Amino acid sequence: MARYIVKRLVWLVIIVLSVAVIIFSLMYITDGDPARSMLSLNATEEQVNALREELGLNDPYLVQLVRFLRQTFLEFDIGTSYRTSKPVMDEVFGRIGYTLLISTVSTAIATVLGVRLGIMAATNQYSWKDNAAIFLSLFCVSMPEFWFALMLVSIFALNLGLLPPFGVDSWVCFILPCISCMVGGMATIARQTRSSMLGVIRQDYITTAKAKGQTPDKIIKKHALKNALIPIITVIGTQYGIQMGGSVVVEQIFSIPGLGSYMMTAIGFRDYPAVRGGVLIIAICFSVVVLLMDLIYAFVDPRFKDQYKNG
Amino acid sequence: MKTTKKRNSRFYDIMRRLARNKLAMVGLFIIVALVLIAIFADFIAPYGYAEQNWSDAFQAPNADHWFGTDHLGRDLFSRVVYGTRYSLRMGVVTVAIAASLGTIVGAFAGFYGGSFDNIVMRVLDIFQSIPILVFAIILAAALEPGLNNAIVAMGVSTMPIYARLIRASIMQERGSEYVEAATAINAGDMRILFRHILPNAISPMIVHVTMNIGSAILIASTLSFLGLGAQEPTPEWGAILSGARSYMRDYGYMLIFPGIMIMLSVLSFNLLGDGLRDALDPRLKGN
Repeated sequence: MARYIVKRLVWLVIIVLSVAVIIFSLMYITDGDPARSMLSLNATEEQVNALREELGLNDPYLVQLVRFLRQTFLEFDIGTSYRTSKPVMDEVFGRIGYTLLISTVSTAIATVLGVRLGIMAATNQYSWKDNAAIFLSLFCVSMPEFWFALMLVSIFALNLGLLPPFGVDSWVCFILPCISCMVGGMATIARQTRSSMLGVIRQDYITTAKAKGQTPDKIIKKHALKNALIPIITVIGTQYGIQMGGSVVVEQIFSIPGLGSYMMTAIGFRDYPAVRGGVLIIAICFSVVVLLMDLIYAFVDPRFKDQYKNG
Repeated sequence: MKTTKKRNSRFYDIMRRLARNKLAMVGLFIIVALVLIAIFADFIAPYGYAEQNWSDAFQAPNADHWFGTDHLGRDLFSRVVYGTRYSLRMGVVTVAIAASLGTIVGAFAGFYGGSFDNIVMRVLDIFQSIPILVFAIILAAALEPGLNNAIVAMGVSTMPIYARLIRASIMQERGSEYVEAATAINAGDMRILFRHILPNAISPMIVHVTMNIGSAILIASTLSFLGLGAQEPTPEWGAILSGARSYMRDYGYMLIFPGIMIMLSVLSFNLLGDGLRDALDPRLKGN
């Protein structure tokens, strides 16, 4: 098991390095001139060029790439934001809290509600409860997150005045963002739970459990859910990752100073160090979630532990 | 002769099961309706999508303007009707790009296996460690914001999904007897892969392609909403919502219809995809 984890951690480092190269290259081919957008509109060509020289933007691709990788991975310095002139590392860590808070809370709620909904649908197959759950989750999966967020703001903040439309002043401000992040995940988790529970529920060992007089509640929780759990965990993990990336939209709508809104501003401004930093951190978080998910498999299903021992 | 007959009957079987599924038929009906709206937009829309009429600005839905008008006095109903073209195109073309790229990559990886397969899969792992939306945003920004670039960005960032799928089913088929037979008659690798294996391995793709057109429409509208997709005055639904957002405090009606259209179109592809999955593999339904 320990060997497996070490192997995965080494792989994680390789992934992060490669993501750094990809993101650097993408920013390199991007049109637009950061030096131009940093200076005022009437800056002369010489001033722009001097600044490009100072930022090292005139160097060849490979020189820039190696310098960027050395700085990031040997000196642990992602660089200084062109826009704010502050270290990107500080800014990213100042903001990532909001992104993690929203994605974690909404994924947690989505998991609890989604699994319940899915179990309810699977145990009452073809009943009105099942149909209602299928319909609800289909609608939630098909709804654009940003539109749902806008509708929530329009109804609960602007028309009813119950909740603040934006900001981060108190915990009340996070209710609407979390709800808008949550519905899509809840629906996806519910759909997965339903289908993998349906796959398990007709197995022989469920019949055996029924025959020995086990209570329905225990059959569902101890026998069925445990065996249906692996694909559900996969979906939860994927959703968590999607939420971290998808926070871009919700942070824009609710003016939350998280990682997503930071990156969008940085993209608009051609603030390369900030974009690279943001994407790198998101990729690291995402990969850690995937790794944790694979480790959770081993705890849920002992068969995986054997596989990990051999690999 | 015998094989064609057999395949026809299986196809017929699937179609019959699909036709019995009411929800899938509702989905298909909506899709056909959307396609018709897109084709005949010129006849359905009472106004042009960029036709400005300043004296009519900010009208709530009424008899002349069914969905109301926006800040430039453009008729929202016409804009939403024309928007069908852009949103559908974005969804379909994105999936076409992603599925064909993914099929090629996944087919070779699955067919040749070994270290080549290993390398390809690791590269896909790397690409998939960036969330799709973030990757699409960065790509779209790098390529210059615009409708076509957004399509390319989404196509490239969703490609790994298809590559994995095709690879898995190719690996399943690779050991089959008919492959052995084809090898025995000295058929070339390309012939075996594309003429024999691929047609047999493609059916799980159909479900994903259908459903992913829906999710591509979702991502497309999100990119447009963020200003990285379709640009003014293109009436893509996400772009309309992006414009309407500035006026939502007083003119909330502008938000309603483009959003409902996005939801309806995504829903219809999801319904059809669900139905296709059940029709292709009745065991999954659990009965």
